[in-house]
Amino acid sequence: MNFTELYDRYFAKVYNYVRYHVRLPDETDDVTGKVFEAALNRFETYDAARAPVQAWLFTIARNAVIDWARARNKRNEVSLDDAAEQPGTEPRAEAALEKKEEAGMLLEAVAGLDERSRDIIALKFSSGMTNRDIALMTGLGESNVGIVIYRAVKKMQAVLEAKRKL
Amino acid sequence: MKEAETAELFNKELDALLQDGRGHAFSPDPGAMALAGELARADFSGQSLIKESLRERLAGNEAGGLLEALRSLFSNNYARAAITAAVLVVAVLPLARRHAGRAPEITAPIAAARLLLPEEAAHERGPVSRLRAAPEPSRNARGGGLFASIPMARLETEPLKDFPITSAGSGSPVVLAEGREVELENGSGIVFETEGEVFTLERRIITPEDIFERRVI
Repeated sequence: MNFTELYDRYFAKVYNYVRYHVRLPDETDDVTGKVFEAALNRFETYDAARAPVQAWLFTIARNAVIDWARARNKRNEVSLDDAAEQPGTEPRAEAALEKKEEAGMLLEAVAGLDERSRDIIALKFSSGMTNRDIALMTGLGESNVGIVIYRAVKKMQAVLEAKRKL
Repeated sequence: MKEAETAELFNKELDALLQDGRGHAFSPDPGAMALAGELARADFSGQSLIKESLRERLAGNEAGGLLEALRSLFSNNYARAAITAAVLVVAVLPLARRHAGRAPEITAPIAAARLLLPEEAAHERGPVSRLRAAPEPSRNARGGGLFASIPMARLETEPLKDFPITSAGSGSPVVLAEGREVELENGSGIVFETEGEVFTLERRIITPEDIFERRVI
């Protein structure tokens, strides 16, 4: 697999993973760009025997997200609540707007999780990695990862149901 | 059912959902599995403004990376010497081959010396030994004396062809008429007729006198 193939195959997954953490579309673009730049710089040294390419790439993505969070804390920026999906000013089809609102609600629900749960949920649903792979990456036990996922989904379910009732 | 067991069952069904994309009825909590399905289908990457530009930029960097790798290779003295040597070999090889191809031309004057001055040459040790060292002339060369005809394919005519040049003026494209085989003295030939000219392509045995003037020193 050359780098362009890797990019085509994983761009959306990495973007989604970053988006669950960063939420702001512009910053998600910046962080995703950094992930793939770092991946390109290290691509020659990547050893397939050591780790699957997906795990290697998402390790880079996790580090990029951690760097982004540190930088944000240093800048002492406002809460990401401000980054909630804003309805567009252009006239849009109702279905598209609904879809966007749904996506915004999902992002908000993920953002409401604690950092560890958010990371595991983002890895699980964007990368499609198995619980075992996630456990190896995060240093948790496999069954622990399963419980974190289940609890996180239940918590998000409660949040979303409450919002939808409003 | 304990939470650990429920979580295990949930994760099993979730893995199946992520693998084949089909929803499964998670009996203990269908709502949780429905939300998991929503998360699995969610794709925000369509909102990215850099997807294509980043791809182009990284593809450019990838090509630039190769140049960088070459540059770093040349910074190593051993690699630089090896590459220089390889380039020299590649450059000199065609020259060496060209010289090898000229070898018969060098022997021709020596053969000429034997033809023109056979008796003198026979008495002189040095030139004779040099002559012996020279390649044997071909059968044709022996028969025709000094010059040997180069082996050629039999002349044959070909069907009409449009000459791939169109005239600049008002004329029609130059057409080469089909050749007509003719018998010539000591050989054969093909007569070609074009719009304005008739010419003959000949194949015949020639003698040195046909080309050169012989003078005795």
